[in-house]
Parts: sequence; structure tokens; C-alpha cells
Amino acid sequence: MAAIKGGYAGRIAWVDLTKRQVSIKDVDPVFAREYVGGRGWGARIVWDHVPPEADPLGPENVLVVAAGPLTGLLVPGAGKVSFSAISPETGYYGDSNSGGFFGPELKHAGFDALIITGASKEPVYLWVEDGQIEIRDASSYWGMGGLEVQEALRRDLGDSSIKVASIGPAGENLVSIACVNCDWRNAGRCGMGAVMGSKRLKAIAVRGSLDIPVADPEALYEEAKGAFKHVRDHEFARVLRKYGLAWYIDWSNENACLPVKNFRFGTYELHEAINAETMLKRVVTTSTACPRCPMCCGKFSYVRSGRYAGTAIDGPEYETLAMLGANCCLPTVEDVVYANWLCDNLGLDTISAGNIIAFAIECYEKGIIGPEDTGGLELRYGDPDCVFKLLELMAKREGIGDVLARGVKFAANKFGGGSERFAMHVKGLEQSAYDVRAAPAMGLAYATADIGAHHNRAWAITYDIEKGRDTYTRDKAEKVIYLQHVRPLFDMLGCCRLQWVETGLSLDYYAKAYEAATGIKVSADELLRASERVFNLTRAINVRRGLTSAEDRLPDRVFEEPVPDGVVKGYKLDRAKFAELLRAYYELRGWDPETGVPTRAKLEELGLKDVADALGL
Amino acid sequence: MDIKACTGCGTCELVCAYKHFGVHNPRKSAIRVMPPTFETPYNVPVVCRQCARPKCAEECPVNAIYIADNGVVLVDEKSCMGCRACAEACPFGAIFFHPEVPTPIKCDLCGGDPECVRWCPTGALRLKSPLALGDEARRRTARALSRGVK
Repeated sequence: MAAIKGGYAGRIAWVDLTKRQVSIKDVDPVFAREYVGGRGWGARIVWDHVPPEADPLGPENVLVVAAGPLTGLLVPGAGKVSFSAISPETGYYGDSNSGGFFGPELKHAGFDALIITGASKEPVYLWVEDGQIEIRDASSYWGMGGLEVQEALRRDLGDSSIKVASIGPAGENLVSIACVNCDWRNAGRCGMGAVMGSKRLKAIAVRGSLDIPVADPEALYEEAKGAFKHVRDHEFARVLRKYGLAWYIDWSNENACLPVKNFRFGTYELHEAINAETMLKRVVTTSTACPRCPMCCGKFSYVRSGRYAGTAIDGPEYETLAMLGANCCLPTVEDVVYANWLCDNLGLDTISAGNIIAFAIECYEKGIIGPEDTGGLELRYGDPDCVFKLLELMAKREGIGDVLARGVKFAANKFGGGSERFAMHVKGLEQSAYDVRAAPAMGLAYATADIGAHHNRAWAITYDIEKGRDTYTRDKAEKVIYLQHVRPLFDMLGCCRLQWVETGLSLDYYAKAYEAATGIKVSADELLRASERVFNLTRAINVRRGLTSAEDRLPDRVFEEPVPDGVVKGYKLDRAKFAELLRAYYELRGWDPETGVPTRAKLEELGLKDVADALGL
Repeated sequence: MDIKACTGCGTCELVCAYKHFGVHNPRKSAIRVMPPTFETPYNVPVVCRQCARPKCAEECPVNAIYIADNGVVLVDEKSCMGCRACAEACPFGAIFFHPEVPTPIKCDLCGGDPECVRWCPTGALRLKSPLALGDEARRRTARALSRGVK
């Protein structure tokens, strides 16, 4: 196949931290096209290079840091970079992506992806600049906060324009829910920070001055004109530009899907204390955007006075406000800002952290654990100090923090006493901020997502709200599958999905942008096909690691305890109907309706014959 | 320039580099956005202010920097020796060098219709006549003082 003319920087660096060797390879055009980039590349490399029995926190796991073909180009929100590996949270395939400027910088430095293998004995960081990579000593940075180390590296390297991906103490201490900080944004989910920590990789610092090649720059520019105008002028983009994703707090509260007290309630009486209006009034200094995004959904908070004076953070956005704010019942937006800062600097995923803390408090309230387990700390909702203390204990793995640091699934097994029934996770990944008791499609999305209970794969709750909050019709399974192909496609292309989600920017635009960037003619359907290929591949990775359909499940709470409040009061999911929906989902996917394993026919149709062979189908 | 309206999206950087060099490379642009920090919680665009008494021109050893008739500070690329004295002289840091470009990368206002202003999604960047500078503040003053009139 002919060489690719652009979009891709053209090189992948393999960094072996055990041998301290770097080898740089040209991108294989067939691989590039079949798996597109970002998470797609990550999945294929994990399938090819991580042995099925590998310990997620052992040197055999591979961390793939991959931008996409559109990352860094004149495309709205094209700043995404994916971190992929076997997740220490689930034991299955995991990935998480970050916006911000780290991804583009990596490509300007000449690399589409860094593949980190092995593990260093001593703490190290990578210095990446214009085609060169050095493995450098990081012992003086070890122990620093995830945000603080970025400032320190920029200071020591003498350039504030350097972009850094880093971990905090949580990642160093192999906390399952550790995130990777990418400047002010984070790759939060699936414990990618712990994978970095297990390799003693404190940070990746990048400075790039190279052009990103583009096959047809004029076509890309002309396409961009229309796309930027579309997003900029869209009515809902105006809302997001003003309020940011925090706007969804009121929306979730109205629709009674806001997690409160460990997903027991669907509305929060103090929601107005933590909503977008209040944020704007009290803490927001400015909007922040990912590269070239006219929507700027980020809001930067700075607390000017009081207990948290001087706290600065990009956020909090919806998930953080919901999981640390509503779910733990924090009373003021400043409390959430500070908890957000603590999480980011300690290097913890705000979603999982809020989920686990709310779970621990419920266990304490129910007497499943007591002061003897918490070191005398009294756990209660609405107490900011309790939240801050637990975050710190988790990051340091001290006392009860050592149990909680391993995730809600582990903690529930440890605590027992029926707490498994309200441990809100799927496959070990803590559920993100949508209650699914009145949202069967969203429940299906959580149950079947390759990484566990995360909304990134299919945010189907709007479909439930549109079509019926207690209906289990086949179209819901179809919708979830469609979303599971569209949304992760953006993580492969290296741009944000929200322009498509919120303003309806068409998939045809992305196909045209891909073609202008790479010179490879492609249709939106072909891109979706590539995304389906990747979804089947991640399923295959999980099956090879022992996944069965029994794990495409939801927490018992959603079937047993009706929503006590709000517009869907009394709703809960029906086990039999949900099982039917799951079966329909398997069938529609071309997977075995009993086992949920992709069929040979499906894999071959997607060009994954070698995968079918390896699975022994 | 409206610092509060700037989101740090960097569209200005990319389209500037594309307009002048035809490439996707923000480090070849004549404008940079400084992202928020712990101390400065704002996005701050940095671009040439077209000074009336430019330090860059003062420090240029070969007088390659001049003020054109329309007031725009320009670089005569033929006589420029690429010594970078201008970049060091600019108190705003608004002159840039790139390893592949021998002469300074400096805002030329795109001949009067700046690409960055055209693309800026929030109106944070605007081109104003020096005569209009301070107009908004004067209007605020007028409003405030009018209120006190009996």
C-alpha cells in the first residue's frame, strides 16, 4: 500500500523501560488505516503484545499513548490522545483519553504514538523533542503532585510551552483509580496512571516544532470553515460556551438521573449550590477549550477567598460535580473545586473517587464498617473534610484508603455484609454519573462497554428520555451499538465527540477531514466499520482474558431499589426484560447470544480472522 | 484583546501559521496563547501591539524593522540577518523564531484583515484603530458619570 501523505506524523516510538532502549519505527500504512489511530491503535497493540495472562501492573503490560490522524489539525476539538493498556481496575482492556494540547505537541514532535513496555527500576521521565526521545532520571520529581510536577518540569526545562503528561502520588502508589494528568486535562479512567506508575514513569514531557503533514491542506481549510461556523453558531454550543458541561447538573436533576448518596437518589436538594449558575457566579474566571474548539466547554475555577483561597483548577465539569458533589453531598461549589484539585494533584480519577467514597459512607451508615475500620474517622455525607481525608488516604494507601484504593469491587468483597449489592460498578470500573434505574439503554451501555461502567462508549440516556424510560425495545440495543461505534470513533480520529453529540456536526465532515488530512479516501460508513472492528477486538481481548457474559451485568441496586424521588419515582430495571435486551444486543452484534463471544463469521467479516484463530473459534 | 473572552483554543495560532506558511504548525505563528496557571487563571493571547516606538526596531543592528505608512511594524526580510535581537528586545515576547525560519515571525496584521481575528470563536481578538482604543472605557465612564448628574 502506498505511503500515507499526511494526517499522521508517520512515526511510532517503542520505549523499553527495562532495557532503557528506544526504537523508532515508521507507521505501517495498512495498520494505520485499519485501526485509524488513538484507541484503535492501542487496542491492536495491546492484543498483539500483551500476553493474555499478564498482570496489569507488571512489566508485561504495555501502555500505548496514541494521538489520532486529526489530532493537532484544523478540526474542531482535535486534541485527543488515548492511553490504552490492560486496566488494573478491571483486568480487561482499558483506555482513557484526554483533551488539551499534549496530543498535538506529541505529533509536532514527530510521533503519532509512544508505546511504553517493560518497567524501570528507578523513577524516570521521558523527554520527547522533534524526533528524539531520552529516558531521564526522575528521582527528584517522584512524590510530587501530578499538577505540581508539570510546573516543576517546565521550570527546570526552561520553557513554559512544554506539554506534560504526568502522574501524581496515586499513580506512583499503584492506586487502581489513578489518572494521567495532561496539563489541566486528564485521562481519568481505567487506572492508566497506575500502569504508568508500575513502570516508574513519572511523566512524559514534550516539545515539538515540526509541521504535521497534511495531504490536501486547502481542502482541510475549506472544510474547516463550514465546520467551525456550524459549531460556533449552534444554539446549544452557545449554552455550553457560557455554562460548560456543568449545565448538565440541572438537566440530570430534572431527569432524576443524578447520582446522590451512592446512586440511591436521583435528585440532589442542594443541586443549585453546585450547578453552572453558581459556578459562574462564584468561582469561574474564564472558559477553557481544547485545541481549536469553538465550544470551549471547560470552565476554569479560581477560589479568591475563604478556606480554599488560591485554589485553581480547570473544572469542575459535570462528572466531577456529580460524583464528588452530588454523590457525596458536598454543600458548596468551592468544596467541589477543592476536591477536584485534590484529585487532580494526587492523581485520582474524580469519577471513581466520588463513587468509592459514597460507597464507603453508605457502608459506614449501614454499620458494615465502623470506626475500627476507618481509624476513627467518622464517614458521613455532606462532610467535605471526610471526602478530602479519604482522597488523601486512598492516594497514600493508608488505613482504609488502602482498601478503597483498589476500587469499589475489591472494597465490597472485603467489607462483605451485602455491600456487593450496592457496589456501583461494571467489570470493576466504577459507574459514571448517570443513574440507570429509569434508563434501560443507558444500563445496556454500561453493562456492555468494553472498559466497564463508563458513559464515553454510548451515552444512551438521552435516547431513553426520548423513547421511554421503562421500555426495553430492540431499537434501544440498536442505538447502543450505533453509539458504541460512533463515539469511540472520535477517540480513534483524535478529536472530541461533543461537536457531533451536541451540535450535530456530521460524520461526513469527519470523513472528508480524514481524507484531506491523509489522502486516503474514506466514507463515514467505512470509518464506523473500523470502529466496529476495534470494538470487536477489545471484546476479543477481554474474552481471551476470561470475560464471560456474566460480567455484562449491572449492580443489584438498579434492579432492586426503585428511584425514591423525582420524575421517575418508583422506577427500577426489570431483570428479565434487561436480560432479553442484552440477548438482542448480542444477536445484533453478531455475537453468540448465550456467551457473548464474537462469532468467527463476524470477526472474519471485520478482517479479524487472526483474532478468531487465536480465540480458537 | 479581551483576555476574559479568550478560551485558549489556539485557533488563532493554527490559522496564522497556515496563512503565512501553508502548514499546520502553531510554532510558526505570530501569536501565542499563554494558558492559565496557578497564579494567572486566564488565557492570555500574546501578539505584536504594533508599537509606535518599537523596541524591536531600536535593537535591530541592521535596521531591518520599520514602521510602514499604515502604522504596521514590519520586517524587511532581505536585510534581516536573523540575529534574534528583536525577540529579546520585545517586552511582550511577541516576536517568535522557529528553527526552520531564519527571520522573525511577527504579526503583519495580514495586510489589514487578520486571519486570527476572522477565526476567533469568541471575539477575544479584535482589530481596532488606535483612535478607537479606550472607547469602551470612555463609554463606561460616561455611563457612570451620567448617573451622578442631578
